[in-house]
Amino acid sequence: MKNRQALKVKIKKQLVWYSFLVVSIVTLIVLTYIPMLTTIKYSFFDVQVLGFGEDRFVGFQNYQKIMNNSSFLKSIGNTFLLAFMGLVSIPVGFILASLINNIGRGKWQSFFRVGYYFPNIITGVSVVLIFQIVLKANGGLLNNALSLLTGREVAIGWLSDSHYSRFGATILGVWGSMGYSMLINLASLQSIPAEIYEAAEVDGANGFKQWWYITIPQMASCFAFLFITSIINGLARFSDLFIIGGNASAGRPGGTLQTILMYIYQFSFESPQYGIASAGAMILFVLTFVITLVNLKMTGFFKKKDV
Amino acid sequence: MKNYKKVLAMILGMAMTVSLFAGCGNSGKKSGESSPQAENAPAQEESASSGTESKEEAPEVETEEAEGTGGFSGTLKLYGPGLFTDVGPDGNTDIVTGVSKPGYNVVVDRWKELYPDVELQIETIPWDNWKAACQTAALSGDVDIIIHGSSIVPICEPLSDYLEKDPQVKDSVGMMAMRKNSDIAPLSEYIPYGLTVTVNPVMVVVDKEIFEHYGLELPDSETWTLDDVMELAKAATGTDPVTGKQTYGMGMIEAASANKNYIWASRAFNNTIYEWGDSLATTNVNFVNDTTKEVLNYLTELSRYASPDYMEGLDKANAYTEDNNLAIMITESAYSAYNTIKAAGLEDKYMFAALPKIQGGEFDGITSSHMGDWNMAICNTSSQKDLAWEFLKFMVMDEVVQQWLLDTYSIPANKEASAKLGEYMPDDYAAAISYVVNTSPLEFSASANNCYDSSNFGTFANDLTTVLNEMFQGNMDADAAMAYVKKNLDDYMSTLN
Repeated sequence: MKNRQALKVKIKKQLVWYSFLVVSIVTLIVLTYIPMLTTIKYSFFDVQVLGFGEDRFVGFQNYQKIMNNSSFLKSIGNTFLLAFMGLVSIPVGFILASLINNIGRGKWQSFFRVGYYFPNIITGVSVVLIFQIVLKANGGLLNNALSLLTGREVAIGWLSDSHYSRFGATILGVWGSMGYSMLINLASLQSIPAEIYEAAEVDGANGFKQWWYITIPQMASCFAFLFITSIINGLARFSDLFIIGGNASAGRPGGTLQTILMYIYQFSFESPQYGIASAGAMILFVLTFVITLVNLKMTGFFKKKDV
Repeated sequence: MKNYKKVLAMILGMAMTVSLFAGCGNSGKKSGESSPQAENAPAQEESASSGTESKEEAPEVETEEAEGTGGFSGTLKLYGPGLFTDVGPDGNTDIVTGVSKPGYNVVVDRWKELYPDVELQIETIPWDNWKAACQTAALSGDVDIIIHGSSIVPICEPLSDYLEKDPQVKDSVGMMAMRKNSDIAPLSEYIPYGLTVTVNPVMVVVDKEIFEHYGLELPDSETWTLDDVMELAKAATGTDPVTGKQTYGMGMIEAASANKNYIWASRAFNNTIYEWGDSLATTNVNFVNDTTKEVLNYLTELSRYASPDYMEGLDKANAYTEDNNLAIMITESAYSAYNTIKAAGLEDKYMFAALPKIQGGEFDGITSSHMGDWNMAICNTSSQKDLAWEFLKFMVMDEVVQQWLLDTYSIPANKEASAKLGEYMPDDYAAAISYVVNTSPLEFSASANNCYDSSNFGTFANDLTTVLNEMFQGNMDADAAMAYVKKNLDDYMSTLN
């Protein structure tokens, strides 16, 4: 009798907790898992515009077609290339964090911390519009600076010439994300115990050795975290490159800035072939999943913790 | 009382869940299904007359069934980008030109006069990602009219039957939103998918001052040729002999939409590349040919006389002002260009011209200036298609609406209304626009014609922009460009089998 009452109370209590959870679970199922499963289904069907016309089962044909499509393969290459080039924001953030950390805690540190983080909160559209002026071929800020440094006229179309556009897009991306990288690096730098440096100093280690043998190893987990987040963000890059391309998904100039997401967008909405787009989305999902697994493995996520 | 908070939390949780499901629900009908209203349509249409005529019959007070309006009642939902978005419900004033435009409430009020039992719900969206937004809206099954939706053929209702029933509509407009769809007719035939409300002819803006400084003869829409365009662009590129400033001969349609330069140039060269079959799968695309090469090389040559800021889309920063440095500019927004010119008091400095005439073929002798449009299409998931058609007719035929279009500085597709353009701008501008509007064939579509089709061939438009940009930068020659486009065309065509 006592047990039944205890069980009743337990169920009553749990019902309350589950009522809170149910909204999130339903939202997750309706807005994430069902569309995901639908996408898997559509990747095996010949679908043009979603919800219109007859859907015909075609097996793996969409996958076959997309994997033989040079534009799709190019978009995979572009995505990874841009994602890896974007990793520059990690060392840049680290250098900035080191410099700001050396200033010492105080108002100047706060000033620079906020100042360098500022680009991170500016909307992507504004950043692109500004950088279209900074990186333009004819009299752009960067070209003017390079002209001044080299002593001859530089007119590189950083965002308009396919030979340089990936560099231009990386400059833009790194400028936008270095503040975040700096902030994470700074937090990690400041969490290294001062005692380790003091002990090293007593042992006669100079500044470089302290940096090489203490700072860098202590920052390893921070770098790994930034590496994972940067790569995953890089794989999902879309908005800024879409705007650079003149609000089109062709990856202008020359298709060099077309990422997998832009390719998927192109076949979802601009030239609707939803089956092809779904197959592309599934391939992107698999790629992201594999990279995440590798990253988790590298960072020791699967290691059994000692009890 | 003890469990009050817990019970409240549970109720709120359940309510949110239920509302979430309600929001995701779809009461819309599948394409092809018709409503009881639609089933009764013939009887209603017999009594329905054009919007203008029915005005006289509209009663002053609301009755249960509005006589003279075809007995229509309910709510008509419109969704999409364009003029309604630009002006908003109450109108606006352009901060650059100072031009004031009346809002779409003028249209809504007029509609209420004619159809007191039909409420209009207009949801406007910006041009960004408009196709994706329109598709999503159509999928919801809660939209009757897709504003500017005719190019998204799978979500639109063909208008052939409606136009047959109301032939006066076809006679009253200078352009229709035509597309091709093998499910309905052989691809050699055009199918009307929307009614064009306003037209945007591609016009050439000429800076007469720059021409005068270089001692060049002003172009004549009737007589100038593609070679003349090139010669004039070349001659006007350099240091202005009078002002000493650098000028450039050519301001093409922006590089980000370089495919649109291909549209007019391929028409001018009469580069027909399609051998239409009954379906896309049986259609041949002969993109790789000598004329295509000629077109691509012509545009590349023309880009040599453009400003170095052209590739970044910054070449027209001073266009239509006193500081303009482009002798010839090709624009898709002629009226907007004119307003800027007028606002600056520079009407004497500039003039409009049409692009040179097409060399041979079906449209031999007419201008290669094509027309863009702002159209309206009936969403094929709508359960009130007949009512939607009434609204479409109203938009292209009602006098009050036509006046509103003119007042918003738009060029109505309605021929009678567009003839009034001369009252709004000097002859140097209006005559050239009228020339294009009046000579453009009714059944010509800039998006789906024999030289260029962006509706049916996958990434063709994007690919053209890609290769033209590469050619303009000197990174690609015409052969490589044609091979690139052909590869993607072949890939696309292979997906159709």
